[in-house]
Amino acid sequence: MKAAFIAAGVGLHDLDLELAQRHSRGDVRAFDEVYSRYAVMVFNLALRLSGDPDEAADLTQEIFLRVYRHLDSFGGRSTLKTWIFRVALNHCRERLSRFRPLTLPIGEEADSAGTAGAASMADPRRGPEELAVAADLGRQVACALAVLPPPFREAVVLRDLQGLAYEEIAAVLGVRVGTVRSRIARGREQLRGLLETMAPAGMRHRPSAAIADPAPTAERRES
Amino acid sequence: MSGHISLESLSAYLDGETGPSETRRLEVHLAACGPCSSRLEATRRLVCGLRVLGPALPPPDLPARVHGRIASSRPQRWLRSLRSLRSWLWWQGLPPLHGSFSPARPLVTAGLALLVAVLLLQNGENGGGLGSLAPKLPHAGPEFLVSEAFGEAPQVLPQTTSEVAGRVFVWSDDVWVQRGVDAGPAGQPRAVPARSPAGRALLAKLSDLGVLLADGSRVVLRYNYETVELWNGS
Repeated sequence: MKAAFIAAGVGLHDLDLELAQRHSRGDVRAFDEVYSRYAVMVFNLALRLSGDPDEAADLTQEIFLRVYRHLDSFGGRSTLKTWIFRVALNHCRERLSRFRPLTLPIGEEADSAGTAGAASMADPRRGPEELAVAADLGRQVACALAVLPPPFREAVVLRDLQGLAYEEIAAVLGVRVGTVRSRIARGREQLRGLLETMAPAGMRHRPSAAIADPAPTAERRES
Repeated sequence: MSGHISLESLSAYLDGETGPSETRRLEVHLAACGPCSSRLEATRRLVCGLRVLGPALPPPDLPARVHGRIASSRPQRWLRSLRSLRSWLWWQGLPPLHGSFSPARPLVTAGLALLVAVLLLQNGENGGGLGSLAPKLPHAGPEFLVSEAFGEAPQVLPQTTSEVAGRVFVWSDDVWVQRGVDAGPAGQPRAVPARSPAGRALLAKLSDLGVLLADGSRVVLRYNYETVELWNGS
């Protein structure tokens, strides 16, 4: 798997370096290309780390300013994707002050923070009830993510929402793969606990219960 | 395999991040162990559930905002020239090299002065004055030379820092190092487990440090006139 990861990166690597070189030569289209390739990725990272779409847009703007300024210093030691993730993560950490107490999004704010993705990915063939359940679930998952300790939140977001491999996450976070493995596992466990808390005993019908329950009973499986 | 599969192994197995031998070992165990299979299924459900968040689309005006921000953030040429002049004055104020007259400094100074003069001349030719707000192409060529020659900070990725207990800590490969503290071999820090008496005493005074230790990171700081390395252990 490691070999496949490296092999897949070889072609991209040349393209990444070429983009950086074109940018340093003054080719404005190079930066536009970088933006179009990575804007959604950066915006989603900022959104999941901040929990606020407006703040995520501001963060994305500043992140791309940094990318613009430093792109010519990209030396190709990692892929451009990893490099941009590192710039983005460092900026988010600085701006969101790593250990500030996060507040749970409530009501309409929660809708915009939690279900922004769910809404944009909504399948028009799904009925209104199904969409409402998905929105409710999205809100609960976003709330649970918001209260995870930052190191766990970063690891879970990079893995489960951005789809990065463990080695890529290790490169982005600047830690060993073993640390990534541990943070993802612990992050998921805490997330499951939080979602379980959101679906107390009397409200087991809530969507979060469906993904948080560690061992569904036979009765529930049948229903 | 004795006991049950660890949470880390289950999670990595689910992500396809285990090696071939570990995968085989886990699969043999999972086939025979109900509780581990249930935990794996629960983790799988959680990961699938997370996908409900999906990728959100950035606001449509974001590209324009990014371009606007880039255009407005470029420092004016006259400002860069002023910075260069300031650096030149700083250079002039340095004490003599090697304690006596050095022929190197006048030569370097003359070279730098010439560079500033060329830059100012270019500034005039290109019409880049105080009121020039026109967007420019990405910086290249002589502007970089000036930036580097006058010793501005090299362009590197920003450091991750955290201000805790009135001190600034810089993140460096699993270790938070207090800014200004040398954690290298010259200043080998004294290891202090957080659960030892010394560690407890330290945390009683600087309880906020606990947040840095929470994820297993180590913390290097100056405390009671010595450099200590605090870690979450006994």
